[in-house]
Order: sequence, then structure tokens, then C-alpha cells
Amino acid sequence: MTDSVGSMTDAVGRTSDADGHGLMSRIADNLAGRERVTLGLPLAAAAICAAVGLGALFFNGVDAASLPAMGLLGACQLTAVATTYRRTASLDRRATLLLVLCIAATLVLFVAPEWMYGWNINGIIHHSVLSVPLLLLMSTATAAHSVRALMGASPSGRDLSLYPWLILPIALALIAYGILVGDIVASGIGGLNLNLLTTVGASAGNGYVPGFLNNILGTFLLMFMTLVIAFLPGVGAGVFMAEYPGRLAGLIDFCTQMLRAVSMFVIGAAAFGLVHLLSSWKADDLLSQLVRGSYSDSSGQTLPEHGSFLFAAVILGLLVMPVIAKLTEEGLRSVPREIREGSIALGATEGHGLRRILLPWAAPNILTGLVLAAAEANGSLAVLVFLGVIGEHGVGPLSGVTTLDYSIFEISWGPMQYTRVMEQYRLTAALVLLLLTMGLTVLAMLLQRRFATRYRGSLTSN
Amino acid sequence: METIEVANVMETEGLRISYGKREVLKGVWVPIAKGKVTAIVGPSGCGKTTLLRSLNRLTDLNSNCKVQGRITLDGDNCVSMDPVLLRRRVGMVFQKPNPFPMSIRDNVLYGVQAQGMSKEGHDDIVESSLRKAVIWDEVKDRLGHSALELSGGQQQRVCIARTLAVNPEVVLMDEPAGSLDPRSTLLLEESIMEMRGQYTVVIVTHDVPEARRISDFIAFMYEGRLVEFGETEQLFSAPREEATRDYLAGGLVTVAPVAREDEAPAA
Ligand SMILES: Nc1ncnc2c1ncn2[C@@H]1O[C@H](COP(=O)(O)OP(=O)(O)OP(=O)(O)O)[C@@H](O)[C@H]1O
Ligand SMILES: [Mg+2]
Repeated sequence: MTDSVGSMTDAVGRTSDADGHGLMSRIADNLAGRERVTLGLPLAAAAICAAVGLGALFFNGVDAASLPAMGLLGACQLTAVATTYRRTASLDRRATLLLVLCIAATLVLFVAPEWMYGWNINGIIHHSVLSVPLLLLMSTATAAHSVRALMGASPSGRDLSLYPWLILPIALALIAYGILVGDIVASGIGGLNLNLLTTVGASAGNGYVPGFLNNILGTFLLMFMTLVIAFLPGVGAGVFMAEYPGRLAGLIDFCTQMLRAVSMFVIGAAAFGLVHLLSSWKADDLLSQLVRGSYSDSSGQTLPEHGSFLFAAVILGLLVMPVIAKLTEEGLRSVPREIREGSIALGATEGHGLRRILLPWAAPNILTGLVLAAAEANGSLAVLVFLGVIGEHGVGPLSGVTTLDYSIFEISWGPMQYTRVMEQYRLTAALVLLLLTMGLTVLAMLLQRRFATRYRGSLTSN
Repeated sequence: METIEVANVMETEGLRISYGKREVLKGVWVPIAKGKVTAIVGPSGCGKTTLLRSLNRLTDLNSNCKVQGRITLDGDNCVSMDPVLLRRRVGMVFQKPNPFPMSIRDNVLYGVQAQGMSKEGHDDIVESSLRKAVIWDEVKDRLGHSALELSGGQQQRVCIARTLAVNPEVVLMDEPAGSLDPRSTLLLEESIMEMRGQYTVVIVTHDVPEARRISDFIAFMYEGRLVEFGETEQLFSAPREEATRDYLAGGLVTVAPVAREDEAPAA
């Protein structure tokens, strides 16, 4: 009986805390010994090869070093194979295969330029085309093998040698993410000022007054309305699927899954079609106002928009409902049987048990569902592309729908006078959106943890 | 077999229960005397839990569990009752302590609130129930704390208090001391003694000496059948069946009892 939220972070925290020191000393233990140094040579050579290979991608002239680098790798691998042979009197088959491949690669790199020149093509470029992948491939393979050879002497070392490969993808993803976020922050921070965030952007003559206030408010309003609309049906469907399994629940499950499988873009297009159908209606018609939204111009005349916040929230509500339903269902299913039976045995009705025990227990899951739903509503550009407006006419349930990420889209593809003024603020808008979502996510995580301790008692191991 | 001069509050007749195709109770008669403690003993897997759970229809929760035969409460057939109302009259304490993740006080009041009983006197109910379960002194200063902060033995006694708080006519207990240490077991037994007379108790236990200490009647079961039923002391001193003697003496049955048809009470 553990709670998903609390224990997951706890587990991660513990691993890094407790093993952080132990891991390094375990690795050091495994690396001690003179013969290990020779076994480590291919690793060092592989590092040089990788550096040369990557360098050749970006700088002219570095590729001249690829032939010697590959040769070095082959030589080091030869030393390692020889050392192992002297010690164990048997050939390590994989190491030998790598050695042969290294020699072959060196030969290819030696012959290739001549060959290419002979075909009358720019030799340098094609040299890189061959040498970069060859260098990277061989260095990765040799490095991997070298690490295993170094650490494989003990059983625990063999496990440890996998460690880098486990964290490598995560590290790469984090680095890539860091680069993107760094770019947004670095480029966006220049345009950031309080004025921009508290001004309603609006057309002014031929120009445009920059401001994101309505887009920020719109982001919140759309998220809020979507959650309000999706909450009850989502939780209800989840309760039904978890508590009353059967054919009807299966059907609901199927339908909600299907809903998720349809591309947002398709649904956005369908919504646009619906709005288009209504375009012949008068702007101050109730239905038209509900679906399309409207605003009053300076002369007091009511004019239609593309789609209202309400309409967009209903569509997004449909899209995010399955997320809430699925997580509610999971939360309810994770209630221990003994606790369920305890409630029933006390003569509690289903409704009472649901209110007092099951739903509180599932609260962290439902909250996760809401956070995911909010995130999805937040990234709902595909729908807004069809319905959104810049947002100069205000924010409200029946106004034209607008959000921050719609404005980022409009800055690139919108009307000329808007684009020209807002160009410099594109990454500022992205930065604001990033900060908003990160803030909300952190808040949600804190809340989840509170709920989990409160309703599932993660204090005890019971 | 001599007749027992006590009013039976519950009684099963020809009770057959099967999970899917497997019959685990093969026609069982057990009378449950009002205000007394009835112990159900028998080797593991003989169907004690199944019998107990059928008494407040928790067996309904298992969709592949089929119950045949008659179970009566005060002469009324349980099958025709609303299960929720039945469970309000027949409470249950489980083998593993299962406090709800809420405060001790809320745990005790859960049933009271679930049954929509009067909103007054909650403090009195909490105190008297916890006293009956012999846990009041240990928790009286932290009623607002989560019940999960208690030890297993304390949790189990809170679960008993929770069951007693709604004043059931019958209290079912499935190896309530199964996961407790000797001291907690002793306190638990004390609380069961406390309940005698005021409540009817049916308790499943593997601990034969314990059954002797606390029960007025013993039902000995073997492979889905009732082998022998009688007053505790009489069953210990003069059992009718070889198997009963074996089991009560050492817990091991060497001679399998003769399979006999359902015994109806001598009317
Ligand atoms: N949910 C179930 N599904 C299928 N078979 C079950 C189920 N519960 C119990 N049984 C079977 O019914 C038989 C009786 O089980 P029961 O739990 O009543 O035994 P018990 O006397 O309480 O044993 P123990 O002393 O070990 O608790 C066992 O053979 C068991 O395998
Ligand atoms: Mg049992």
C-alpha cells in the first residue's frame, strides 16, 4: 500500500542520497589494479575519437585528424586484447571483433579520400560523411566494451557497468531540454517587463500596442473552464468504470479511449466547421453568441468572433475528460480491499463509502488527472488555431477565445501590423507561458503530496 | 446430542458455499447463541472465513461465490434482507487490522455516521466504544491523530471499537489476534470478555487455548463440514469424535472424521 506520488519521489531521492557516495567508491574498487590501466586505454582512445568525430561535424580541418584517431583506437584496442590474452591465455572474442573492425575502419578512412577524389567530388565533404559516423560508431562500441571489461571482473561490477547506459538517455534528454529552455530564457528575458504583462494588446491606427494581459488571463480562463466542464463527467466515468465493471463500463471506456485517439487537429477542424455553419446567424443570436462569441465595437454594434471561450472549453473538456476518468479509475482501484470491506461491513452504503473513503483515497490520482488535463488544455493550440483571436476585445466566457500559446502562433503567422510589432516578443510570450506552467506544475506536485499523506497515511508502512 | 437451552440469535442450516465449481462448505449447521461467545475452530482451509463472511453477506462481494441454504437472524432469512441493513446488525472485525486513513475519532464514528444515527452524544460513543475495546487509556489524548500512527495491536482494538460503536447484535471476528503479539492478544481477549453478555460474538481462531479461555461454545469444522458443536468445557472434557479430541489436544487431526450428512438441530 504505497502512494504513487510520495513514494516515487522518495524512492528516487533515496537512491541518489544513499548510493551517491557508495556508487563512486564501488566503481573505484572495481578499477583498481595495474592491468586495468591497459584495459582502460581503449576507453581513452574512444573519447578522443568521439571528440574528433563531433569536431569534424562543426569545424573544417578537424577531419584531417580522423585517420590518426581511428588508428590510435585500433592500437589501444590491440593492447587491450593482447593484455587479456597474456593473462587468460584465451582470446576475448568480442574484443577481437572490435579490433578487426577498428583496423577495417582505419583502412577505409585511409583509402576513402583517394577514392572520392577519383570520382571528382569534393573529397573533404565526403571524407567527413564517412569518417564522422565511423568514428562515432567505433568509439561508442569500443567504449562500451572497455567499460564492461574494466568493471566486469566482479558480479556487482558487471551491473555497475550498465549504470552509465541507464542514465545516458535521461541525461541527453535533460541536456536537450536545457538547451531549448535556455534559448527561450536567454532570448525572451530581454523583452520581459511588467508593462507588457499588464497591458491589453490592441490595434492602434496602423500599428499595434504590445501587451499580453488578455492572453495570460485567457490562458487561465480556458484552463479553468475546461477543468470545470470536464471534472464531473470525468470523475463520474472513472467511478463507473472502477466500481461497476461490466459491459456498459466497457463501452464507456471504449468511447473515451476512442475520443483520445482522434487528433486534436481533426477535432479543431470539425469545430471550425460547426462555427462556419453558424456564420449566417446574426451575431447577437444566443446560439451564435454561445458558440462563436462576440464583442461590441465602438459604435455599440455586436460583432461575431471565431469561437467563444465556452465553446473551446467544451471541446477541450471532451478531449481531457478521458484523462480524468482513467486516473480516477486507477485511484479507486488502488484502494486496498480490506479498507473497502471494512466500510461495507460497518453498514455503510456505497455512496457513503465513496464520499468518505474511496474518493479521498483517489484524490491524489484525480488531482494528477486534473494537472494533466490542464496541461493538455494549455497546449491546445491545434484547436485554437481554428477558433482563436488575438484577444484585443476582452476575456470572458462569451468572448473570442485566446491564450498565450495562440499569441505565439499569431506572432509568426498573424496579420501584418500585429506581427511587425510583436516579433521581438515571441520568445517573451514563450517564457511567460513556461513560467506559468512550471509554477502550476510545482503547485500541483505539492498539493498531490499533501493529499497523499493526508488520505493514505504515507507516514506508516502499513 | 443434547439440546442447548439458549436462544439462538443466528443459525445456519444446510449451508453450502462454492467458489466457482469448488464447494468449500458442504452443508453446515451452526447455531449462534445470544449474548454468548461462539468460537469456530478447525484446520486451515476448512472454510471458517467463508462461513463467517456469509453471516453478514460479505460473500456477496465475490461474484463467483455461490451461497445455498438458510441463514437466519432472529428467525428472518438473511437472503431476503437488505444487505446494508443486515451488516448494520451483524458487524465484522477482520484478521488484518484495517483502520481507515483518518483520525481515531473519525474511525470510531464512521459507522455511526454511515448509518445516519443521531448527531448527538458522539463524544460519549467514542469514549464508551474505545473503553469496551480496552484502548481508551492508550489513545484518549490523541483522538485527532491518524489511526495509522498506532501499532498493529492498537489499530485492531480501534477496529473493534469502530464495530461496537454502532451497537450490532452480532460481532464477527476472523482471527482478530492473527497478527498481534501476546500482550496485544491478551488485551484483545480482555475486550472480548468485556463484550460477553452485551453482544453476541462469533470468533474464528487457530489458538485452541484461547478458544477455551474466551468461548462459551465451540464449533469444530473439518474440510467444509461441521464435525462437532457443543459447550466449550464439555467439548474439551468429553468430545464425541476422535478428530475433535485430536484437534483440541494438539491441533493435529490424525483420523479424518466420518463424512456425515447435514445435521439439523434436534427440534
Ligand atoms: N475468493 C476465493 N476464491 C476461490 N476460492 C476461495 C476463495 N476464498 C477461499 N477459497 C477457498 O475456500 C476454502 C476455504 O477457505 P477459507 O478462507 O474459508 O478457509 P479458513 O478455514 O478460513 O482457512 P484459514 O484458517 O487458513 O484462514 C479454501 O480451500 C480456499 O482455497
Ligand atoms: Mg481464514
